[in-house]
Amino acid sequence: MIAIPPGLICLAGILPAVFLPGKVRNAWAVIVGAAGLGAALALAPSSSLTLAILPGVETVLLLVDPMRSLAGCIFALAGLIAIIYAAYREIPAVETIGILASIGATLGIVYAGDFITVFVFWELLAIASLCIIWSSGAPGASGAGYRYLLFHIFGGACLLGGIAWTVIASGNVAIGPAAEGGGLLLMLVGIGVNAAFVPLHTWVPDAYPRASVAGSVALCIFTTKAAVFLLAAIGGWGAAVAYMGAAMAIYGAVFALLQDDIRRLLSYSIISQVGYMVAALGAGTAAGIDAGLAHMVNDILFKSLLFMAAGAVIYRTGSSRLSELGGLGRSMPLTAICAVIGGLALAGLPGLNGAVSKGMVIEAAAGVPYLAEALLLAAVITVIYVSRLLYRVFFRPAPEGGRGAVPRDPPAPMLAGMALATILCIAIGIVPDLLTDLLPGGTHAHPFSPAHLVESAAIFLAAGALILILRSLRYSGRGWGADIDRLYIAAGRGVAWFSAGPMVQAADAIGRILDIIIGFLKRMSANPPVAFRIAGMTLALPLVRMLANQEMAGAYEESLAGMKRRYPDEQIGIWGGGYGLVFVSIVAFLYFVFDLLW
Amino acid sequence: MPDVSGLLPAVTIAIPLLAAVLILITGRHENLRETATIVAALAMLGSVASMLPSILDGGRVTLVLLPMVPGGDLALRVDAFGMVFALTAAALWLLNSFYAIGYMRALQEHAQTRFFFCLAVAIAAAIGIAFSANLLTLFVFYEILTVITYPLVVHIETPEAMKAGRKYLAYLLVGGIFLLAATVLTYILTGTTDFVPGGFLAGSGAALTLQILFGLFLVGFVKAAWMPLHAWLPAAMIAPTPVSAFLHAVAVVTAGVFGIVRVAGWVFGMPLMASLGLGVVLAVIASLTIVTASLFALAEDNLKRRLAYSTVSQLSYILLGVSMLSVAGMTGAMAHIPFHAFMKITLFFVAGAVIVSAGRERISDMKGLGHKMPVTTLMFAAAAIGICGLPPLCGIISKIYLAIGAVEGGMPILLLVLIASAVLNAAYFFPIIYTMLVDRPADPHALDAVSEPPLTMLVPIVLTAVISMLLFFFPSVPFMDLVRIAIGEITTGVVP
Repeated sequence: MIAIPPGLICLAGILPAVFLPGKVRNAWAVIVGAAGLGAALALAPSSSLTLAILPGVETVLLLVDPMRSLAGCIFALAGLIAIIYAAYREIPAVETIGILASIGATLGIVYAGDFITVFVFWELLAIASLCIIWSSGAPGASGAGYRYLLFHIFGGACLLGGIAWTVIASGNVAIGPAAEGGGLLLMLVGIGVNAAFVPLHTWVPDAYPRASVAGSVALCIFTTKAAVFLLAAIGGWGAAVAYMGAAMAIYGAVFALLQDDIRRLLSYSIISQVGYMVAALGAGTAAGIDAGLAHMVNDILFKSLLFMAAGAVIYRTGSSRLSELGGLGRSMPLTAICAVIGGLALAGLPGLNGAVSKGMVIEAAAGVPYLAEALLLAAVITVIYVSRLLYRVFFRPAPEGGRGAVPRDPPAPMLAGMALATILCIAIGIVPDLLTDLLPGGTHAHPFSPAHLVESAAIFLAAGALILILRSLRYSGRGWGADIDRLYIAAGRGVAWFSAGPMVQAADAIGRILDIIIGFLKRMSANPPVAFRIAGMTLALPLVRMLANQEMAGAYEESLAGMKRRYPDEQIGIWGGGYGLVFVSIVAFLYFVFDLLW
Repeated sequence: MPDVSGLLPAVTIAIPLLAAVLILITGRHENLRETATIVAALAMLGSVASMLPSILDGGRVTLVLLPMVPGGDLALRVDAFGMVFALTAAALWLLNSFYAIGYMRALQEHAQTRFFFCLAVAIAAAIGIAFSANLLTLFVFYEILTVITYPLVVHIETPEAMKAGRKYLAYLLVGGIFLLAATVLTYILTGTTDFVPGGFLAGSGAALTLQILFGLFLVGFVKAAWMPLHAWLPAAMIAPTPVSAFLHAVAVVTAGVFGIVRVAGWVFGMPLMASLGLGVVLAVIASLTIVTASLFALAEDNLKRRLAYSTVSQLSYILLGVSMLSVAGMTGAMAHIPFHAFMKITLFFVAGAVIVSAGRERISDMKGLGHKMPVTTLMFAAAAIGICGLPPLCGIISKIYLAIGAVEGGMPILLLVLIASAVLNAAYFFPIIYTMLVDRPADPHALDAVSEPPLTMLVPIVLTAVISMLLFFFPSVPFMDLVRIAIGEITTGVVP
């Protein structure tokens, strides 16, 4: 049976989108998104599509198994939600292209059966995201998009290196465990850029807040989670990856705590939550892979929900800062409800989807020493930053000198997108089997078991105590903007300076020296016998002065000066041919010498 | 299929030469003169394409033009690898001819008859290089190509152009002498200069002799613009844009890298190269060139010169692929010749279109051009993305093969070069894309008079970009198939 890869449907939908006028384009984008989702849902189990595009390479564009079906459906669904959400206004053409291409590229990665196909879609995803970032026109978007691209080109090239290494080691291009040594390292760096491994994570808080409010919803779904999926599909990772996950979970949570810009806060939250997934996948067991995938699905839902709510707030108030916002619970009640549900799901409240997979992750992490403890610590910090976010935006009194007009709930498309995600968060939270039945390893979640309830209660109690003791919700200020990206920017400026300064100067200097040498040779070659004579006489001049008497030396100098004055009698340019004779004779001589010696 | 003797190779070369004569005769009647160019381009493409089926069947077409000494005749032989070059050159000459006509007329350039005459002879020389059966024939056509492109480079005849032209001639003629020396030395060592799949030099001389011989070849093929012998290429940017396109994509630099691949595969052979340690030498040269040229490109504000440095860097991708001395690396190297040509010519076409339509050469002056020239600038963006090795253009295919070849050839360290180069390529191309397509000019009315270039220029731009994209989806048609046959030849030593 021939099946159509869902990603190709979304990619094919791009071309008409370019030529359609505004409102029609919105409708078209929704149709394409829905068609992609429909194709993903309709894929028959274990259908496949293999093309021989390149000699010697079997490119598997479509491979269907339980893991891929689950990931494909959730990415297609989240993509559709993002399109619906974005349709509150005329979506700019470039952003439409970016969103559709993001969905298509991610679905391409998900359903790919070989590394080459993965790599091609991987690079496409980077360009698609760049379209979304650059289309926003926000201040700083150009630089952020540029840095985003450089990061992902670097990651893509590393991934290609890892793939090449693995392909040579294994003898085929099928997706499988990475080759040992350098191949493993390159592949981890390559995937790590997209998965926001610390310290390769800075593009997330750099770029995501600079996209349009709808653009950042689309961005937050795909890149990092596609990397998580690829980690899961490759498999065979070890404790080092698990600890990287733990580091990301804590690092992201701590930085989320320090932010003032809500989308920057949520960006760090992505890093933190992806850390959970990476930790689960690094644990290496089947349960770990299930936990990582489940948390990927749930994070896609509640994180895009939070980005949608943040977008609604920014759209209605024009501000994105916790220090300026407040009191929106009354004026934007529907948004507030959705945001609270998304936030509590992120925090891991039993009854919402976050608790389901967070419990699975911590359970799977038990096999690696100290991993579960680190993740629990991150969970406590998560509760604190979620509380701070919700409190400051929705529940505290509006700050003095607030903005004039009272904001209201956002337009219907935005609400529809949020409602869809909210319903799914609640549904999976109450009936975890909706999700866990689809997992490849058949692991089940027990979020309502006494042990998990106690665990959740402990997390919330610890967080509550810390909030009361440290009064962390009151922390204000303009937020913590610094991260190690300062270092990367400085390095980039260094390279730019080096290429514009020393390198150009060095090249100019070499050029000048060459000009001098060429000029000298040219003058020499204008009349070689005379030139050699002058050179010889000039060399002998000190001797003559020393040995000869005054009169003879004077005559000698005079004849030399005259020779120089008259030189060259006639200009004979012998460009090329003249040198050629010299070179040929050198070569012939060398050959003669070698013939004698060997 | 065995070698067959046929006149078609000579006919293919004769067509543009005949056109050159007609161009001189009809020089005063512009339309007639241009007709000669276009008809010849079409006929030549047809002639090249008519040989394609038998080449794809593994056959070869041979013809002795002028018997001289055994192993040193003026002789032609069309094989799969020569076909890669010939097909690229013939297809791009057709598009470049349309483009050149539009460009030269739009700018009302002087001495157009001389211009088109030289182009026609130059393409004949390029095809001659592609079809050469031995080093001597290759050398003859190589020198003709050097000499006949000189009037094109100095076309505007300003003192600056004459200086650039002298540089151009100095580098290329001196290089030619080295090539002659290498050819003579090869003949002395082996008594022949005929290309043999898999090489014929093994065991013919001491290791040092052969190493020096390779050095002579390398300097001889200075048209490959490897550093530090690259300076003639940015200098030659003084030429009209169709000439730049011709230098960078159709014939000249392509001839240089073609020669190096030819020598590596058909004179030395990969096992001999490996045992002489020449792969490492070439890898070092190529790596340094790739990174250094990219850094130069980063600092260059003149679009054409930035593209020139990009070419220097990209050509060394091909040398890098050869240096890996592995099947995948060689495949990437051969495939990159046509792939790079189609993408780079698009970029030069656009640079010329911007000169014609907006009179701008500096990147910093191109803010917001995309709003007035959407098609042109979009094609630029597409081709630039392709050169960066990103989908959906053909550049990514050669990049994949090069990466695999680096590991296969036992030089995984070269992956770092590919990574650095990928980042640098993106670093110097994407700001141009941003400036053209996203940015807005400071003065909103600055671009009021700007519009898309004439159709004779716009259509070639779109076609080369679309072909670059099609080559991503259908790389085998026909280039990867030809490359596969050529690789089969040089690895097994027999024609498949």
